[in-house]
Amino acid sequence: MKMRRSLQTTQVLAEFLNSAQEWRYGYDLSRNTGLKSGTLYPILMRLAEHGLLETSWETTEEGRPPRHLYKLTHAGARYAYEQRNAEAAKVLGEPAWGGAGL
Amino acid sequence: MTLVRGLAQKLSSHVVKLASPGAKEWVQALAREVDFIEGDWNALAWAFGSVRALFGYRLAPIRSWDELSFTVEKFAEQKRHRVNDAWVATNFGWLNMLLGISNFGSDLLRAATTRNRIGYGMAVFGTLILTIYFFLRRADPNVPDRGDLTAMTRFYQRELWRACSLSSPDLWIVDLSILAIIVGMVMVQGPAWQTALGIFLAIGFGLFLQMQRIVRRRLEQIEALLHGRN
Repeated sequence: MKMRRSLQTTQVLAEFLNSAQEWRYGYDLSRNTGLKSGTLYPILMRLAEHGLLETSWETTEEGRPPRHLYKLTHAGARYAYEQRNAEAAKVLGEPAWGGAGL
Repeated sequence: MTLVRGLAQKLSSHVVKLASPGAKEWVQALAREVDFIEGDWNALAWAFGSVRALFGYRLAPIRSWDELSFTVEKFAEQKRHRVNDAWVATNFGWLNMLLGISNFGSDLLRAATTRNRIGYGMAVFGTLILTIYFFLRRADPNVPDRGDLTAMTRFYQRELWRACSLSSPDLWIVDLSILAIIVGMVMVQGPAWQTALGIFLAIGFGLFLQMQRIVRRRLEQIEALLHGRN
């Protein structure tokens, strides 16, 4: 997998997993993850570039500009689950007391 | 609509105009969200974020061999397309500068004072150098073949170096020509325009330093990856 793993990317993927089948707006993703647009969109762009994210323009009533929508692809959802499992395994693998010297 | 939200919308639509074709859809997506953001200042912060998103996307750190190969392949593909298919994109630079020469040249011929003659003269000189430079650089036939990752990586490094290294002649030719045009324009304009151009120059210089830092770091990351592989 070519995607770089970062805390922010993991956050975005986790947010998508909360409603994996739904199309999401950029602003909602930003609000729910707490990421600013300048951080969020490069992540979305890279996810789409790697075929992990599907994008679409919303169809709206006349006169209203459409909004961009995002949804994980099958590969993206699989990758997101892998990331989540990897994070969980990392957390479970770390002793709660820190472990140093014991 | 408040002044701040209006400013946010203006900034967003301006970024849409400046965005490259590859990034346009994303910048438009960012711009459309401005209308839905709660709070005017949040909307303005969002609009500023669209500028950062463009830079962040284009020059994110490269930390693995996979990321490097992906980046250099994409870069080479864009160059190939530019040379082979995109006549307008390839020739836009020098044709645009040619238009600048005719504008500044006619102003120079009409200039009544020595100060204006020097100002327009500098602007003509700057645009002339840029016209020649862009004309000579309009097509770069040395894009390596697909699949030759090492050659594509070297090509990418060379292009980054040429655009941003302080020891690159290309950087000095372009930057000094732009400086000549700006100084020339400052000389012929009134005090209000002089202030605006001064601010523009300061912002441009700040962006230039930032780009220098990012590109230097990227070149170091590529070198480190290549070094680790050998």
